[in-house]
Amino acid sequence: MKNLFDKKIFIWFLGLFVLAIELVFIAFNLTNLNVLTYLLCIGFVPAIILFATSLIYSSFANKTKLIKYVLAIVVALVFSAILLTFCELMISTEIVNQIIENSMTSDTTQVSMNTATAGDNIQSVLLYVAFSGVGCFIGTSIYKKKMSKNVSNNANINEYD
Amino acid sequence: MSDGQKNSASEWIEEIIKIVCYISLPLILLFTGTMLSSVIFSGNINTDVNAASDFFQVLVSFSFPMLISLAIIPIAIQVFLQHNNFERLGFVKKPKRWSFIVCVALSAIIVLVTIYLNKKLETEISAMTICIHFLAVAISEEVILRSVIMHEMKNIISNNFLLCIINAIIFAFVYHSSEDFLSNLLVRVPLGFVLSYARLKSNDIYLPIALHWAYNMAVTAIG
Repeated sequence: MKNLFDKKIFIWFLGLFVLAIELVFIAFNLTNLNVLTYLLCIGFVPAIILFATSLIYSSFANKTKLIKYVLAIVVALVFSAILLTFCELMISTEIVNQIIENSMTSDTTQVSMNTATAGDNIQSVLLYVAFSGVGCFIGTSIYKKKMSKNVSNNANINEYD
Repeated sequence: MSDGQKNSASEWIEEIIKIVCYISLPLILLFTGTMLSSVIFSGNINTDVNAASDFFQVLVSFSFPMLISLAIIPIAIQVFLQHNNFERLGFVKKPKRWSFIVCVALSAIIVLVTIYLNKKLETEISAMTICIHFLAVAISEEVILRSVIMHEMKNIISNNFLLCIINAIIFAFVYHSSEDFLSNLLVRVPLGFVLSYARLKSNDIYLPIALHWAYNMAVTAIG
C-alpha cells in the first residue's frame, strides 16, 4: 500500500478535482445547453480529462505496468460512477425538455432524446476504461523511452569516467 | 508473486484494455462519422437510418461511416500497428469448401429475398439500397466482432464455448444497446453465438458475414 500511494498519486486526485470543477460548471449551466454541448460536457470532456490524467500519471510514476493498468481501470470506473450519479441526480425531465428546446434551430428540426438503457451505461463505462487505458499505454511507453534514455546517458557517463 | 506471474498479470490486463478499446472506440468513431457525414451531405444531424430518404443518404451517412469506423480502421490498426496478418483475422485466401458452398447458397437466398422485397416494399428506399446497406452492416459488425475482437480475445480465453458466449454478449448488449433487454437476450445472444461458432468452425470471416447478411434480410422480409 505504501508502495502504491506515493507523491505521484496526487495527479489522479488533480484529475478528479478538474472533473468536479467541470461538473459544478455544468450544474450551473444545464438549462443553457443544447444536445451537442450536452454530449460534449457529459461525455467527451470528462473522457479527455481522464485520458490526460492517465497519460500524465503513467509517464511520470515510477511504478510497474500492472499497478499503472489497474489504477487506470479503477479511476475510469470511479469517473463513470461519478458521471452516472451526476446524471441520475441532476438530469430531470424538465432539464431534458429544456435541452431539446435549446436544440431546435428551426420549425422543421426534430430532436429526440431517449432514456439510457443498461447497455448504454455499459458502453459509457467501457468508453472511460478505453480512454484511460489508451492514456496509460501511451504514458507507459513515454516512461519507458525516458528510462532507456537515462540508462544510455548513464552508460556514456560511466564510459568517460 | 514471482516476476513471471507479474508479467502475465500485466499482459492479461493489457489485453483486456485492448479489447475494451476495440469494443468502444470504433463505436464513438461511428457516432461521430454518422453525425458529421449527415451534416455535410444533408445539412442536418440524422443518426437514425430509418429516417433516411434515399440511396445516396443511406450509403454516405450510414454505410460508409460504418465500414470505415468498424472495419477499415480496426483492420488497419491490427495489420500496420500490431503487425497481424490478414489470414489470422479470418481473411483467408482459400476458404473451406463447405464454407464456400454455404456462402454461395446464402447469397442466392439474399438475391431472392431482395427480389421479393422489391415487389413488397412501398417505401422511398428501394430493396437494393436495403440489401447494400445490410451488406455493409454485416461486414462492419463481423469484422470488428468476429475478426478483430475475437482474435484479441483468443489471447486470454482458450475455451471456445466461453469465447463464443462472451462475444455473443458483447454483440447483443453493447453493439445493440438501444434494443430492449429481452430481445437481446432471446434473439441476439443466440445469433451472436451461432456467428461466433461459424467463425471458429470455418476459420474464415466470410461465412459469418453471409449468415449475418442473410439474417438481416430475412428479418426485413418477414417484418
